[in-house]
Amino acid sequence: MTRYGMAIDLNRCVGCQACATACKIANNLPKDIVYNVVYTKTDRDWDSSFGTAVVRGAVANDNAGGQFPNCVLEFLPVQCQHCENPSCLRVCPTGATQKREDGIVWVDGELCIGCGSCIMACPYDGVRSMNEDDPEYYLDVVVGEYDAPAHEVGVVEKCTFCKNLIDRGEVPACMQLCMGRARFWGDLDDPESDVSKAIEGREYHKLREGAGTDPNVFYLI
Amino acid sequence: MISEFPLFIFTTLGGLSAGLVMAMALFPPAEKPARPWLAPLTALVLLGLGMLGVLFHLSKPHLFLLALRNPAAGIAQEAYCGILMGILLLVMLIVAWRKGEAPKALVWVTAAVSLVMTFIMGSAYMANVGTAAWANWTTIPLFVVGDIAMGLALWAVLAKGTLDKRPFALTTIVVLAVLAVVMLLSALHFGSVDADAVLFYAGLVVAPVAGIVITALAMKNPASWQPTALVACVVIGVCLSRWAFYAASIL
Repeated sequence: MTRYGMAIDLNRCVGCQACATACKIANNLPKDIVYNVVYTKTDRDWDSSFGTAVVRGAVANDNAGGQFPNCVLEFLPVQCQHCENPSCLRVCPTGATQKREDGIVWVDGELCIGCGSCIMACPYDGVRSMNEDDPEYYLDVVVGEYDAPAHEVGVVEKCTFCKNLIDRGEVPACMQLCMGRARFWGDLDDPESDVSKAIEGREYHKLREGAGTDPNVFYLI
Repeated sequence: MISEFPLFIFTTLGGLSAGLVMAMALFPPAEKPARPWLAPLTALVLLGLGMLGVLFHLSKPHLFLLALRNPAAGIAQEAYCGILMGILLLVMLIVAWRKGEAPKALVWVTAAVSLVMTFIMGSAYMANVGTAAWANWTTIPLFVVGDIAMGLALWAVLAKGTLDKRPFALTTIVVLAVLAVVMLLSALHFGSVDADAVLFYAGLVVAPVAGIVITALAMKNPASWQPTALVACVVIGVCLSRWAFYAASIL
């Protein structure tokens, strides 16, 4: 059975923000909504804090930490982890949060009543956004894929692994623009897939595994 | 203002209602009360207001019935329990009004549903692993014991002379002592995850400490002001602790 997952090679990520930009454009995201944030980190503790990002109020995206010559500058792209055991799925009272057979976790906007339970239950803070007000856009024209998700007020949104693209045989938008080729995508159950090959033999980290969610995004370190 | 104010209203008023029903079952009045409908009516109104309050937590309140679809979700379980409790309270109210007293079995069944609801209130928050301050075992007794303490205090007001009786007063002191421990442990946990715990300590002084002093006084020298003072202290103290609790929300 297909089980989609992603690997992100942190040694190849240069923090260019292309994946975040691709995501924003492909999904025609409103001003305040982000599905994918590339955080800047000044340590290598991947779990305690994701770090800082301009979209989260930081002044810059590329400030190193530490003291010369022992400076640290790391980038950590974070999106929905499409967990095997998603905590958001259990707490959603309406069944709006759903998991497809291929492992993609998504929110059905028709069923979402905006209770915010999934946001509070998710251990990966910031990967979900609530449209509190009518969405505002940077451009007056609609951009991105013709079948990009709708953005309605009072609905929670998050990364869909670009299921609209996957369903027509393409790859997630964040994959397409990654200039460092840091992202690998595919079927985790297929040993010949790009993601399986990328993970094989590599040391990896899954974010906040203590929460018991068993994420399907692998960070190669 | 806390972002979860509607939930604060729901768990405080709904919890007060649940605690009152449990107190009614545990300490039935020795004599037939002059107004047997007063306590079930109070519980029903509190529960109704609490459940109305929770609608304001939703971005699409008109679709609230959809919240009953996933029985595994805490919100849905709270709704099931709240609706069942409301129906039972309505029956209690009608029977008490028509016949002067509700059957003990009905009161006990309603109390059992109330206890389950207070437990679900706590467990629903404990399941929020994204909110470190809430995802701790102390969350469950914080709601259950807080609700029972508020209910006992309100029952002392509604059932005159109850606070003077030794079994009730001793039970109240024990529940308030347990509440003190739970509030303290919750405050320590909040502190350990860098959440503000100051209001827990304030609540600890106002609810359990002042409540125990008033109850102990009532055992020695009963006075008419004591039940009112008790319910004021306990409800305000529990509200302070819940404000601290909801202030840790990531929304």
